[in-house]
Amino acid sequence: MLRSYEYGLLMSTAANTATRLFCKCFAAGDVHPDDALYIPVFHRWIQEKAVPGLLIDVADYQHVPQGPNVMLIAHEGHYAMDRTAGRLGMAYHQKRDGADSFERNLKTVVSNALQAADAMANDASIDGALSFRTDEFVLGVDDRLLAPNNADTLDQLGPQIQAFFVKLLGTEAMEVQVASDPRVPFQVHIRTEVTSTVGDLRERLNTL
Amino acid sequence: MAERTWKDRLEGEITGELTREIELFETQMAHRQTGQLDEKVFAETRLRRGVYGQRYDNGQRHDGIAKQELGFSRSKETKGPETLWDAPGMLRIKIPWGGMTARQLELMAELAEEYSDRIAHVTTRQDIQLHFIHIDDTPDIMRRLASVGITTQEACGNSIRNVTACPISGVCHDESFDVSPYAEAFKTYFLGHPDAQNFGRKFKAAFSGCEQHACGLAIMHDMAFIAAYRTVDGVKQRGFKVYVGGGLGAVPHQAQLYEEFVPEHEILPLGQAMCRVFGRLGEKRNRARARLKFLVAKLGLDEFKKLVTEERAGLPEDSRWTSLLSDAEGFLETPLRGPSALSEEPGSVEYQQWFESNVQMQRQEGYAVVTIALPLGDLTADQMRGLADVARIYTGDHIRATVEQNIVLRWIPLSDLPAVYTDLASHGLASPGAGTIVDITACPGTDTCKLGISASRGLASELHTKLGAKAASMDTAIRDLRVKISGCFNACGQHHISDIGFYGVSRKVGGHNVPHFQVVLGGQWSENAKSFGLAMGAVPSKNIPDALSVITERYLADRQGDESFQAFVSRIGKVEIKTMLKELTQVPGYEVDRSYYSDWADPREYSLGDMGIGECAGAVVAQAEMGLARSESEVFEAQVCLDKNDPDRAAALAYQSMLLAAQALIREQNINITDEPEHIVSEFRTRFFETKLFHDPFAGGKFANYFFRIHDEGVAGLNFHQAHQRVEEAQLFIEAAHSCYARMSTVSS
Ligand code: SF4
Repeated sequence: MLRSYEYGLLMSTAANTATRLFCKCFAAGDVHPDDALYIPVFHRWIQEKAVPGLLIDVADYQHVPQGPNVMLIAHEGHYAMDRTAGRLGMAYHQKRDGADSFERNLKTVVSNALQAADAMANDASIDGALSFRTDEFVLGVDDRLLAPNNADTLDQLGPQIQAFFVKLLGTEAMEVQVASDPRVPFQVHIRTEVTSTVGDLRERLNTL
Repeated sequence: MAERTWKDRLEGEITGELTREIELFETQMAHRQTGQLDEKVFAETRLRRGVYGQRYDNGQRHDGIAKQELGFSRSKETKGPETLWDAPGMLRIKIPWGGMTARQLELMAELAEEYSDRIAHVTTRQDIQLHFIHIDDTPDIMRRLASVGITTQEACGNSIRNVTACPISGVCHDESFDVSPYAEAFKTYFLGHPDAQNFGRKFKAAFSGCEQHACGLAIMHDMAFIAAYRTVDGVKQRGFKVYVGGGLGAVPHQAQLYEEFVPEHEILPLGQAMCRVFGRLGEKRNRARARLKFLVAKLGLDEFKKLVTEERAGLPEDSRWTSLLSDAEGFLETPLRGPSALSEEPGSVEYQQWFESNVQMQRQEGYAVVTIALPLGDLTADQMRGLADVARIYTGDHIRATVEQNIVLRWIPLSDLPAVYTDLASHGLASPGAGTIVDITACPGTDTCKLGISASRGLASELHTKLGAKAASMDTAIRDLRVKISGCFNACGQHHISDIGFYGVSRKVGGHNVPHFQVVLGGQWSENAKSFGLAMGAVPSKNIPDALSVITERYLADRQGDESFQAFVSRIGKVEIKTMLKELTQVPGYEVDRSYYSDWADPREYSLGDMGIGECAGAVVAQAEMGLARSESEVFEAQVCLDKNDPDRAAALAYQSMLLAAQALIREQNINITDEPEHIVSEFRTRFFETKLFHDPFAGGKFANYFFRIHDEGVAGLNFHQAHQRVEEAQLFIEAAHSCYARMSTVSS
C-alpha cells in the first residue's frame, strides 16, 4: 500500500512516548559477502567497542531464512545484518534506556544503524564487497501498546518520521510505504530518488 | 487516550489468579531491588516463573583476548547469586503438551519482536524460549501471555516442569487413546499445588499414547504415563502403565516400571503421593543427586512403592482427582475442514521430498499431520505469523510443538497438502527431512547457557548445512538416523537417546583449551527412548562433521542385511569404533591450525572462562522461606493499598498475608494443611500457639493474638485507622513467623 504523506500537526500522544524504535538501511546490489563473515566482525566490535552501546554477544541465526541472520546483542538494543523479507541490511533495534523524546530516539536508531553500516562496509575483512544504499530505509516501532500498526499511529508518528527523513536525505520527494498487516510492528518504508553516501548522511545527522 | 501500560490495557482479560501471581512477582522484584528480599529466595521465585539466567549474567565475558567486565550501570543490583539485574536472561514459556492456538503463536511473534531477538526457540520439552530478555520486561510479558491463557509459572526451578505428551496424540494409528486431556489435567492439578513446592530439584512428567514409538519419551522422565486399556468384568477401562525415576543428565537413568496399570482416576492422587514422598525424602543439599531417580535408586523400587502407597492411603480426598478428568473420554478435536482424498498430481520434486518426510497420515481417514522442521528449533516472528495464518486457513488451532524442536499441524485435509506446502514454503517453513538425520536437536550450549562447554548450536548448524546438501541422495539407512547434541554432559539436547549423539567437553592441548564433543553412539529413540547410547571418545569440535561421515559410511558399508544402527554399534564394539575415530581425535598444534582452538560460529579463542553456575534447579530454598516471602509481598501490597486510600483491600491483604505466613509454618509440620482460613487458624493454634513454639521471648503470644483477632473479627467495614493498625500487626506477625522459623531451623539442624 503506497501512501504519500501530508504533513500534520505534531501532537503529544502515546505513540510519541514509544522508545523501542528500529531502523534498517539496506545493502546495495544483489551480491554480498558470505553471511558467516559478519560473525568475526561483530566479535571484534565487542572487543573494540566499535559501535554505541554496551555490547554483549553475537547471535548466529543464519539457519533461519529471512530472519535477523547475524546479530550483535547489546544492552540498549541489537544490531543485525538482517535478512528480514529477503533483503540484506543493517538494522538497529533499540530495546531500552531510550530518551524521552521521540525525535531523539529516532535520531539514535538511525545514527546507530548508519554507523554500524558504515563500519561494516569499511571493515577490512569485508574487502569492499559490501555497501549500503542511502535512498531507502525502514523505520519502525516495536511496541504494540504505544504504537500499534494502525492509522492512529501513522497519524501520530508519520509526520515526524517523514520530517526527519526530509532533513536527513535533503529532499521532500519521497515515497512512504506502510506495512499493511496490523499484526506487524508499525513501520514505514521510505524511498527517495536522491542518493548520497553513508558518510554524508552521518555528517548531516550530526547537524540535526 | 491509549493505555500507557499493559497492566491497564489487559485489565479484565486475565484471570484473577494470574493477575495476583504477576503482581506478586512485581512486588518481589521491587523487594529484591530494595534489598528486602534475599537474592537466593528471589532467584528461586523468578525461576519458578520461568525467568532464567543466561550466559554472561555475572557481568563478565571473555572476548577472545581477555575477560571483560560488562559495564551495566546497575552493577550492584542482583537477581540471584552472581546474577546481575540488568544482564539479559531467558524466559521459558510452558506450552502444556505442546498445544498452541494460532493467536498464541502470533503473540509469541509479538514478544520476540518487542522484548527478545525476534526469534523464538522450541525446546526439547515442548516449551518456547525467548532469549536476551530484561527482567524488567517480564511482568508485561507474563500479562500478555496470560491474556491468551499461557503462564510461565513453574517453567523452571524446583517444580513440576512442562507436562509433555505425544504431539500426534488423538490422531495416531497406534495409540490406545488420546492422552492430551490427561496431560492437561495433570498440569492443571499440579500447577502451584502445595505438595509440589518442596522438591530438591525439578520433576518432569510425560504422557505417551503407546509403547512402541518415541513421541512421549517416557523412559527418560521422572514420572511417565503410557496409555493402556484393561477389561474388568467385561468393562473396558482406561488407565496408564506408569514409570518412575527416569532422567537423562550426567547420570542417565531408565525409568522403572512402577505399575502395569493405574486406572485413570488414580493418576492424580498417585502423582500427588509421589510428590509428597519426593518432597519429604528427596535429597535437598546435593543438587547433583536430588532428582527423583536418585531417591528411587536409593530406596529401591519396592520401598519407594511402599512409601507412596502409604502416602496415597492417607491423602485427603480431593474432588478434582476425578472432576478434572470428567471430559477426558469425550475429548475430541474438531477439524476445520472436511476430510478429502490425496491429489492425483505428483507435484514437484521438492513437494515429493517434503511429503515423504514431513507428512504422516492420521488415523482419521482423509487427514494428515504435517511436520514443520525448524532448524535448531528456531523460527522468526514473521514465520510465526505465517504459520498462524496457515493454521487458520487449513486446520484451526491444532498446532503442537514437539520434543524434536519442531511444530506439527494436525487435521490437514489430504487434498490441501499441496497448498499447505506452497504456503509454508512462502514462509521458509517447508524444509524436508523432518525426523531424519538433518533434523538435528541441539540445546542452547555456549550460545546462551551458563553451563555450556561447547557450541552445540554452532555444530548443529554446521551439520545441518552439510547434511542438508546431500540429504536427497542419502541412503535411507543413514537418512533415518537421528543426531542430537548437548553443550555439556547435562544432556538437555537428549544426546543419550539418539543414534548418534554428541556432548560438549574440553581438552587441553599444548597449554590451550580445545573444544571437543564426546561421541555417544547407539541410543534408542523409539519405544519411548528405550535405551541410552555409550560414549566412544572425545573428538575435537572441528572434526565432528568428519567423524559423523566416518561413522555413517562405515555403517553403510558394513551393515548386515537390515541391521539397525544400535545392533551395528554393539556388533563392531567400542574398541573398533575408537580405532575408527582415532585419527580424528588428533589436534594440530596451536601454531599449525588455529581453527581448532575456537568453536563453531564463534571465532573467539576458546576458553572455559565464561562458564557460570547453572540455574537449572535454582538453589534449594525451603518451602517455608518461599511462603514467608510470599506473605511479605502480600503485606507490602496492603501498605500500597493504604497509600491509595483503600482500607478495605489493605485490611483484606493484611489478613491474607498472616494466613500465608501461618500456613508456611504449619506446612513444616503438617503437609495436609489446606488454604481454608479455619483450618489454618486451628492448626496454628494447636501446633504453634498452645505449644508456645510461636511465642516471642519478650512479647509472648502477643503477635499470635493479632492473627486470632483479625480472623475472629473479620476485616469488613474497618476505617482507615483500623486498617492501618491491621497492616502494622500483620507486619509484626510475619516478623515473628520468621523468628519462629529460624528457631525451628536451628533446632532441627
Ligand atoms: S546440556 Fe549443558 S549446555 Fe546444554 S542447555 Fe543443558 S546445561 Fe546448558
